[in-house]
Amino acid sequence: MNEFNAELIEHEKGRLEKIADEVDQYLTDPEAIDALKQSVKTIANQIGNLYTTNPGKEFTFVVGGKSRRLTETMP
Amino acid sequence: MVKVEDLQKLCHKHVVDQLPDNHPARDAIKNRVRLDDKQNKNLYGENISTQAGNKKASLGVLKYLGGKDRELIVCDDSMETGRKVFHTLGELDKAGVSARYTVFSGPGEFSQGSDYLRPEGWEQFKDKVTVGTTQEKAAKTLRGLSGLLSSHTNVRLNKNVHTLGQSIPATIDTLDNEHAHTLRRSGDLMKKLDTALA
Repeated sequence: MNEFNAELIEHEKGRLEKIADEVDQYLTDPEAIDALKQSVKTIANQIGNLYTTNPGKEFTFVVGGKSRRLTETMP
Repeated sequence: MVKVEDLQKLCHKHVVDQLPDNHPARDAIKNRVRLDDKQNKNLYGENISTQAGNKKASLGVLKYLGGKDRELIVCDDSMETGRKVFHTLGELDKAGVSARYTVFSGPGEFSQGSDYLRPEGWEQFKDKVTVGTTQEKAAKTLRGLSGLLSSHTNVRLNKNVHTLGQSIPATIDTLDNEHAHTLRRSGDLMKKLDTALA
């Protein structure tokens, strides 16, 4: 591996570590945890309400559709 | 290997857990249509263009379903894909299909964002878009984890290091060493998330 590639790999490693550190920090932040829990409830309520307010109607969930690799989908 | 899909499944599980037993939405979420980008096919084997993103993907699913009475709930975590939401809604509207988007994003980023995030179509379709996340920290946490999982998957799959807008081939040994550590951290973070949401 040449020096240029090695430098880029180090850069990439640093970037991933930084992302991991940020996520780790959020996951130990009570405010962030509350936000996540609230979001899960909100989403469940929103989806649940669609069903209860439209009895008999068929819904189809389509999840994902990637135009870039890092696009991912939450329910 | 920890994948973004694992994060998706984890979040689905927690949302489903919030719904009462026998709620019709439970099965719908569990049996969701999921697009397989790696094979450019959806779960029904239809070819889709992943490069076009949600627009063609959603239309591909609709074509398979063949009906216009269903309502689609198309879920995406969007800032960057925000524009495609409205393109898709526009296309579905032309096809006479009722669709609803659930977008996971902070409210400021999507519904009150810049012109880039509020593209043409917003006024026409805003009532069909549900912003699923109301707090920034939740969105940032999930997006960060999603980005982390995607990054190492990308690198591993392509045996390349993607950075600075370039694709630089690197030796797999180096990447294995790097990603063994990243994977461990990702797995730990996933467990933390699971515990936090329980």
